[in-house]
Amino acid sequence: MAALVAVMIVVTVLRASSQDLVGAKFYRVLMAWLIFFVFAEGTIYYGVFKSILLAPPTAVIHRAMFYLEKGYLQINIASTMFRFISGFFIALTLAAPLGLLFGVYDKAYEWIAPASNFLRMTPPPAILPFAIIVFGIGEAPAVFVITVGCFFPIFLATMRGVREVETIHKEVVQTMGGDQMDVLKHVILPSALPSVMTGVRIGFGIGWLVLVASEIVAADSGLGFMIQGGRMRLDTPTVFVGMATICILGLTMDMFLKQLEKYVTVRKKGGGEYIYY
Amino acid sequence: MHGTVFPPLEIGEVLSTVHFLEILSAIFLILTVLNRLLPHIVSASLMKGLAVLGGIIVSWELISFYEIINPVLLPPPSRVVSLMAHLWSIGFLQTQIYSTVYKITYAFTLALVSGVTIGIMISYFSNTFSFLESFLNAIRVVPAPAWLALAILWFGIGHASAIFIIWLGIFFPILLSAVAGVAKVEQVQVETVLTFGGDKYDVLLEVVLPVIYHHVLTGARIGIGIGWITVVTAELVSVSANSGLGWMINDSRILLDITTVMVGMFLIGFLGIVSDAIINRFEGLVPGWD
Repeated sequence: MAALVAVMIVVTVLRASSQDLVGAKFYRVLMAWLIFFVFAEGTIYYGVFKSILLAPPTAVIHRAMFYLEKGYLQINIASTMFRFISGFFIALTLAAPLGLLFGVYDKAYEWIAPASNFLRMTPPPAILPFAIIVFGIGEAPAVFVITVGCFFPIFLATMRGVREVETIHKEVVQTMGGDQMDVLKHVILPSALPSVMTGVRIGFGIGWLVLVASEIVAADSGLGFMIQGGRMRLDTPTVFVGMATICILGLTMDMFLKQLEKYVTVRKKGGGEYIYY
Repeated sequence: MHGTVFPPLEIGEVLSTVHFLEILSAIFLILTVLNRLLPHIVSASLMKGLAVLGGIIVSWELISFYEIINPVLLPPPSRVVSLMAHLWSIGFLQTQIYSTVYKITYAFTLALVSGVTIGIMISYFSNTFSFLESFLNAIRVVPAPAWLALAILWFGIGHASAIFIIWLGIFFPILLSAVAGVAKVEQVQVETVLTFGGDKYDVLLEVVLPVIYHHVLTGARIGIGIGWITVVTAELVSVSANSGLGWMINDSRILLDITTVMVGMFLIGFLGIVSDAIINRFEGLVPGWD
């Protein structure tokens, strides 16, 4: 508490002494956050809100340190990441080749369009109870549901990317005496890659959402399970630790994917922009 | 809505496989005739897709009929259809559909109003409200289901906490699309309004709102998809007083009643398609500037 107020004073003094050192926007954002923390800490300390409803930031930090010391947080992060990464990569290895196939032979997509649309519109958590009965309780249903969640964004984006390849680029390769494989290797794959990356980022957003949902509903480990357990024991700091960890992991992976997208889309204008998740 | 009974286990009269296949072929025949008579409504490409869908349903029926896969784990579509008709006739299904649709409509309306308002605040009036952006970004990266625990603590068990997390899921796509829309406003159009003596609020009404309309629609379509995911999640953990299709699915899952699970799955998929189509209808209603 005192430390936060001290930081506020120091930053204000710094800003008063030199405008260049602390920018206006940075100052405003930092101040807003500090005031928020002081407000949260103070209201709970003086009993305005019950500590069950909103954990004070210091309690959250203490709880996080305690869990880190005991290794509890690491175990849950590991099992969440294992689930997510396996589901995500299964979806990627299925969706990208299928999208490529249906993008090249676009007459074939007409045949499966209604069936695929119906599956796409069924929210993955609705499939979860069915998956639990079929696969049994354990890792498999969660991984399956994450796979379903990630599959369609990647599949559709890949298909769209392959269809939007310029015909003239393909014809150039054919004129130079290249065969189908050359067209695929030198034209279709490089042109479709930015679109695939967009699909991967959207799929990541949906998969992350579905992961948390499935861990809250049915799991015996992971960050979603930790949040659910914290709620049942009315242990609000644990809930906040879980949410903050999910936030940090999601941000890190999204930043990594954004960099990857920028690297992939060098030749295309744009890229790396906002995706609505 | 409160105190709804368990989904009844008896499923009324079950269609036999032969009858089911007869009805299916009759529907397909009618569709073929419609395809010949009204090719602009029932197009050839739609027929191809429906043929594959029909093939999947028939083979699924036969797999269950010859018990290749245990019919308890994979109930035949004839049984699913019969149960759906039975649950509808006793009024059980309508209650659950009403509860789910009520929650998602409520949250969607809230999200639309608040998303567009706050989106305009942090982008068009960014001088005053830009500090909100960092808070919103911090909230955005925590997926909506993770808020479930806090929502229950804050709002208690009931519709309110379900509506809160559905709102969170729909809010951010709409907010970000409104922000992206404001960024796409052409400076020339803004200056035209200013030249003719309009002020900042005239620009907002005449230029910014028509431009962001289309962007917000895109955001709303993404949002409703996420909204369906969150509404099902909220109902699976029975946040909102034992009602809704998600609760029906989870409750039947516990009773190993997969037929009801499948009824729920199909209804949610169907409602998802319908909601998407409704939002699609609003495309092109407001003329944009580009």
